[in-house]
Amino acid sequence: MRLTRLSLSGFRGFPGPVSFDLDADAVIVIGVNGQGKTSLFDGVLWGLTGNIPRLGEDHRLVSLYSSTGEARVEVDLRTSSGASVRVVRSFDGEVQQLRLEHADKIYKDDGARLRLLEVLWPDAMHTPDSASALTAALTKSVYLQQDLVREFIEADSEQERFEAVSELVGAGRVTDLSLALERAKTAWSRATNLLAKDLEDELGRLRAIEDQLSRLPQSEGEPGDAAETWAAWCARDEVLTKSSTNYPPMESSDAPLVVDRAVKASRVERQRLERRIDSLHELQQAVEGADAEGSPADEVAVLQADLDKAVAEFESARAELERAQAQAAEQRRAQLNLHEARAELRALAELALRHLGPACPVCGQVHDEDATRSRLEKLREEDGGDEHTAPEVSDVASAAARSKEAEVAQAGATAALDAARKQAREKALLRTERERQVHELGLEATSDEDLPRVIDTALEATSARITELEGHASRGEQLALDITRLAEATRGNELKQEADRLRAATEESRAAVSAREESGNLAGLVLEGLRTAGSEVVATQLERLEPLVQRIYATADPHPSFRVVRLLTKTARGRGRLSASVFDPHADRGSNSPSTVLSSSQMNALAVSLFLALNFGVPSLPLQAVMLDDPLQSLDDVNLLGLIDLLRRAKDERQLLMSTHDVRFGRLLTRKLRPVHEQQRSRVIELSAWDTTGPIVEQFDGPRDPARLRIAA
Amino acid sequence: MTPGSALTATDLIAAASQILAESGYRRIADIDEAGFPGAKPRLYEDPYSVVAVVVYETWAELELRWTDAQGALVELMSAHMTSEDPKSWEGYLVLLTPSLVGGFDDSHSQAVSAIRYDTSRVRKLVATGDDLEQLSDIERTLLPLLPLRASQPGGSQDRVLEMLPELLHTRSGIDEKVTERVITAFQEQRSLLEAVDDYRRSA
Repeated sequence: MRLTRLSLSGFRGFPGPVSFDLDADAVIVIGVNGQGKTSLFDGVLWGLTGNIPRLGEDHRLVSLYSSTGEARVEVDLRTSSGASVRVVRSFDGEVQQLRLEHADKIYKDDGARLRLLEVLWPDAMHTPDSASALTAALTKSVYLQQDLVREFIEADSEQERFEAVSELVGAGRVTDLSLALERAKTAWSRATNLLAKDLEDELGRLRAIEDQLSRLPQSEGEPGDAAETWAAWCARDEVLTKSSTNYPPMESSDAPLVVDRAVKASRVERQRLERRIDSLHELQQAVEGADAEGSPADEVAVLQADLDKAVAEFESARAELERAQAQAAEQRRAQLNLHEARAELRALAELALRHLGPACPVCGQVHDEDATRSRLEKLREEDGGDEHTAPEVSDVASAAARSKEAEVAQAGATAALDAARKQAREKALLRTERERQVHELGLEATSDEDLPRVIDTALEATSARITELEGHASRGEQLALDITRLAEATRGNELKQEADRLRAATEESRAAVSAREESGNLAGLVLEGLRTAGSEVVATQLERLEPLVQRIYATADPHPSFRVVRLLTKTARGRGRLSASVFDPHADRGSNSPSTVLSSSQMNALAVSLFLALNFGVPSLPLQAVMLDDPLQSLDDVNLLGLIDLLRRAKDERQLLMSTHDVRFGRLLTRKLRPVHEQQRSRVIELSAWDTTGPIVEQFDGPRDPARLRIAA
Repeated sequence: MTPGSALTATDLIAAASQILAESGYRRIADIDEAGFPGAKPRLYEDPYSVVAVVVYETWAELELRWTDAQGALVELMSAHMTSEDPKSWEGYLVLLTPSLVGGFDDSHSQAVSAIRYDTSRVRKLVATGDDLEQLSDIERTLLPLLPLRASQPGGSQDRVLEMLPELLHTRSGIDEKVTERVITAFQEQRSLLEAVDDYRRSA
């Protein structure tokens, strides 16, 4: 993949649109500082990655003098097969947009990012952060940024440098493999655990079956005439209980249900018949009781006559009592009057006695005083007793007693009549009930007299049916036992077969689980090896890279004594570290800190050498190019010439883009990097007179040497 | 006589000639050796440059005569091209001697550096017996003149995976075949554990 064109607009030092023809083996960018050389190189990096780590946020990329307020970069590339790829990236101050044109198709944003990785550097897709990996690959092996030349050696920590180089030499693939194996092992273990759990479940089922088998009675063989017994019982049941419409074979799983249903139906029917017998007995007793009793109507009539008589007697007694009571009242009034007269006489006698003399004090008549006194005293002594009263009271009491007796007799007659009437009603009800019972019991008697016989016949028939049902149920229970035993025997055989199958299956599963665990453990060993192998792979790759590093360093030949450079790798706790050291083979002395023994000029030469070594040595690159932004600063002449000779040789293998702030040196580069074959081309870009519209840009092809060989030709 | 390395002046000139010829340089046969007194000169040219390889038997001769050789080279180039020709600036003088200078005092080493750092007229590549202990040292001296070879384009990072079977076997005793099967499954996006399982069953 090579660069063929770069267009910038509003990007850093290029406010206006400008397009650069980069379709050359060597592109030399010449301009004093501040003319846009670095912006040009940054344009390539940003266009391809959307990221310039050393600058940070995208808004710093937009030129302050951009007429559109946005930065836009177009990078045209050509694949090794000659296909064109155009990457267009823009930033409007808020959003970065990407478009990719390749193979007559246009991709945008995420689709473009994915396609760009596929086209540019598929290895980045194996890394956790493909965008960062692509940026790192470009900045560590393609684009050596001006400000970071020496930092390439000095600033990065040994660990950071190792990790960056690891990505380039392919350790990421080892990490990918390790992660993939770890995920696969986890999934494998999960599946193995599920199988182990299934195995436990199977063993549990086997134990349960064996437990069932141990509780099942030993098989005694099938009953000999069981089938015939079953058929006969079913035929009888169809008559007796009608509990089923379909009778299955004895071996059927429905047979126990049929038996159970029939036995229950027998029990219900027997209970019904027993109730019928009770009803028949009750009816029988009722019929017998009704026969022993007289007619209730006659008794009521007799009792009614008795009552009428008692009522008449009671009325007579009560009239007599009223008469006696009236007579007694008259007598008591007469006695009262007499008693009052006698009281008055006694008072007069008492008064007369006190005034008694020989002559009447009132009239003066002489009288026999003694005789008078005696009579007066006699009057005074009379107490008013009435011997005629007692017979009158006795008559009333007698009449009252007779009346009471008559009343009691009337009440008794009334009660007797009520009882008789009630009994008559009850008997009527009993008869109605009996008739209902007769009807309900389905008895068909031609007359009341025939009813006892019919009842007796019904009792006999019902008892016989009960006996038959009991026998049927008993045979059913026996059959149920036979069926259950038969089913248990069948079940036992099935369980034995299932147990045998499960034993075989569990053995197979146990072997499978064990085999899977062995494979998982083996994968674990490989995984453990891979975890430490990543750093060792990088170290090995770097060991392979070291001759190239050495060759490039020797080509630049920056130091008369420290002529050997080594890449030192070490691994601690699975993390690799990388440092560069310089070595004097003659004095057998070296330094792991090159900056302490090399000058700035020599350090720059070492940095460029290491950078080129990575560019030339890593298995794949996003671009078959080397971009060096003004790397030859502070170089003395010999190192300058050495590096230029190195770059001239690099040009044959890589598209070389190089900038310099030194116009004289730029001309030297133009001459040194001149095309020497018809197929080669070099471009010179001169940037000058920068103002707010950007620099003045002059572009032209580098001069071609008209004759390849001048002396040896 | 100055003590020397195991390589002779003949070794040096023969090896340098072969290396340059194999790197695309064409030898300039018709030269005037009189311009290179006390030395065995060989001149070569490729599209970029003109190279004079001059071997001296001793460091003393080299130190004494190298300017003569430089003058002869410049004169030769001037005879064939003008100062406007880009190649007129592309002369390289390779100065070799099998003799050792390390046994001398620092002034000799400084003299070597002085020649290297003298970039006037042509660039000088200098190597003495101290640097030239074996034939490969001659190629190292000539490296600035030789083409660079990058790794094959289009190579894949998957190459590092090929290193793993042997590495894991050496470090952890893991059979190389199981690692190979895992890597193949990984590259073909098949189940890695099934690959391990297949290996275990077949082992």
